[in-house]
Amino acid sequence: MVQGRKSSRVDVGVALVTLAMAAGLWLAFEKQTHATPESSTAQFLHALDSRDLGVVRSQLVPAVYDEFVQTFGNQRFERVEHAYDQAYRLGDARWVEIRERARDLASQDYDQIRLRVTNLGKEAFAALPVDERMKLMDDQALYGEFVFAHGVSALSPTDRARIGSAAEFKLSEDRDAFLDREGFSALGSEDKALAGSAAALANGQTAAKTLLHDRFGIPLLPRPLRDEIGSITRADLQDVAAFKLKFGEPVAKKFMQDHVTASAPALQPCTYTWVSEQGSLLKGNEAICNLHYTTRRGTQVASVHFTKEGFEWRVSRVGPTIADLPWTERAP
Amino acid sequence: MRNPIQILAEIAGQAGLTVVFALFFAALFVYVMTRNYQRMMCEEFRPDLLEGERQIDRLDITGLITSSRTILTDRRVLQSNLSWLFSRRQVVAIGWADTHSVTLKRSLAWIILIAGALVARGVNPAAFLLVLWGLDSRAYTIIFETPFAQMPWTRVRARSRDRAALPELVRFYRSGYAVWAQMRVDKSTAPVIPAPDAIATTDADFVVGKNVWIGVLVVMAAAVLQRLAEGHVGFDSSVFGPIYIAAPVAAARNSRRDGFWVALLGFLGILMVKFPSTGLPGALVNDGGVPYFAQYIGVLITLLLMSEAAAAISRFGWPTLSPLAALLWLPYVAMHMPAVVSDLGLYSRIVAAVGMASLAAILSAQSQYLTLRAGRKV
Repeated sequence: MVQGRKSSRVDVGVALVTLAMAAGLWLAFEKQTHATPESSTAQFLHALDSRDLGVVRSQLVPAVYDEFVQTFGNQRFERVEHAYDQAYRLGDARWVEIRERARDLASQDYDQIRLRVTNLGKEAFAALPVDERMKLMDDQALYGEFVFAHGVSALSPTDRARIGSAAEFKLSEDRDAFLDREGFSALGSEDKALAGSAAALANGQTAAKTLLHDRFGIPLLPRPLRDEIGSITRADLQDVAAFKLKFGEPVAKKFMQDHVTASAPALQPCTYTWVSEQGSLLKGNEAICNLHYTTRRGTQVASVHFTKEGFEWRVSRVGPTIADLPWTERAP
Repeated sequence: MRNPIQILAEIAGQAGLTVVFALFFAALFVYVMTRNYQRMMCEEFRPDLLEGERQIDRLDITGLITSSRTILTDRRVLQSNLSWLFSRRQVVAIGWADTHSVTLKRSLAWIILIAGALVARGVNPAAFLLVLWGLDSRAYTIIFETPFAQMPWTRVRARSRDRAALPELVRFYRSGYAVWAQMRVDKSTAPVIPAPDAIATTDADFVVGKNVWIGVLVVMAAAVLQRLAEGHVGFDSSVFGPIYIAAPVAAARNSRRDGFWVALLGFLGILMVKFPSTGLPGALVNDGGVPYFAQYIGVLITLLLMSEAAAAISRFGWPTLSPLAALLWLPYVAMHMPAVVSDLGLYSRIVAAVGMASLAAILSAQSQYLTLRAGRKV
């Protein structure tokens, strides 16, 4: 029995020490601001009322923050895109004018080349012996073939390179392609400087063509639309997410400073997805906390989803979005 | 602040008059039965012996709500039965000349198993405990029987469910058998006396054991309380989680076998509370959708490993350190759900489990000490 008492004293010591350690760890756990979904929800609500976008950002996983900021950037994106669409439409008339001018000039060149081919072919015919000439004159088709073929082969290398396929040139099937191709070089120096490159006058959609439309159209936009575009280029619109983030952040910051959520929501007990849906004995790393906002229109429910990242629970989704929570303008 | 009377009145108002009357009469019944039984227990059964009749042996069996005294004389078998239920008293006597057999029976209390099966009709904690009780129970009966055709077919039965009473019952049976043999077998031949070793006086059948019962009941009670207080049963509770982890470790300190059964049966009990489909707790719906078997198997294996580790540490001469086996919970969580390892609450629970296992050892040692001291005083 003496041995039993000795063991008991050691056990008492072990029990006291471990229970004290457990209590200390538990207190440290409770003091953490993001240790549980409930405490993280409180921090999130506090952040929403803090006027500081940076504080809100610290509560969210990056994807949720990006989604919130992009909501504001989306509006700017749509306005800029609309402005550019308007500029394109307005610039089209002048673009068509230059293009038509280029095509007219190219058309004259094309006709002159055809004339040169005919003349050169006739010269070759005149150089033939009489009997051969007589033979060709009896057959109009043969005569035409002879004149065209010898006219094309007698063309200067420059002219020959300009017309491309002789068969298509003969039937004028390459006329449109010739006009598109040679139109820019047929322009005068002033128009060439304005257009910039042949691609700007192309039939299909090219970057140079769009730029030219913008150059013509933007000055014709009303002032507000011009201001909307500002220094934003078309290239900036290509990466939509980056654009919305870049231009949404200042707007989101201003929004946070000027707005507050309508009322303090009632927090329902948080549920752990693994426990409530999968019968897990461990809480896991996903939780949902529902907030009930009482507004003039009735009760609005927002579901805040949390994911455990390291020692903290962070907001991984808000349904509806953070921007759709019941906000009101902050009193000045 | 409301006073107790107001609170009682509110509760009664919600329960209704019928329920209040039913409870009152139930309480009155229990009071009268208990009072009568206490007085009956003070009465001593001393039968009047016939002239020349000699008392040979006596067996007293006292249960929770029944009590019997069986007396063997050289002429008769006499028995007095007292029962708490309906304050029943019964005195039976049969003569040896009429007794055609003396039987000793040992079995499980099969009636409990049947009750468990009836209560079951599915998975539920009440059925689990009943079945476990049935498997752990014993029924020892000595029957002094008269022929069926000899109406009213009186029999004397001495019964006990206490394993510790077996040697006493065997002794009494041998006495009765000897007297019966003397009376019934032809007196010209030697009476048939059973060989000393023919009847086992110790019960080697499967026994759940007191420590396992305590471990299982503590774990299941914690699970029920957790469901009521927190809505879900799980190991991540600051209050209840350490209990589930500490129970098998604490049991394994003194007995590897106990640790194994507490780990296995305790965990099954937790699942019964988590998914009660019918029976008494059928009002509780299943907790958390469908069972997550892959996790349950992992948890069970971990609990068994923890109990084995605790038993091994204790066996190697460091019983005080055996609660440290609870630390094995951490590797399981790290493998199964790495994302939740970064949680001070988890470490708090594991350390608390170590503390609770040590505390259980203290309580167990104190209990043994007090029992031994009480035994020495007697």
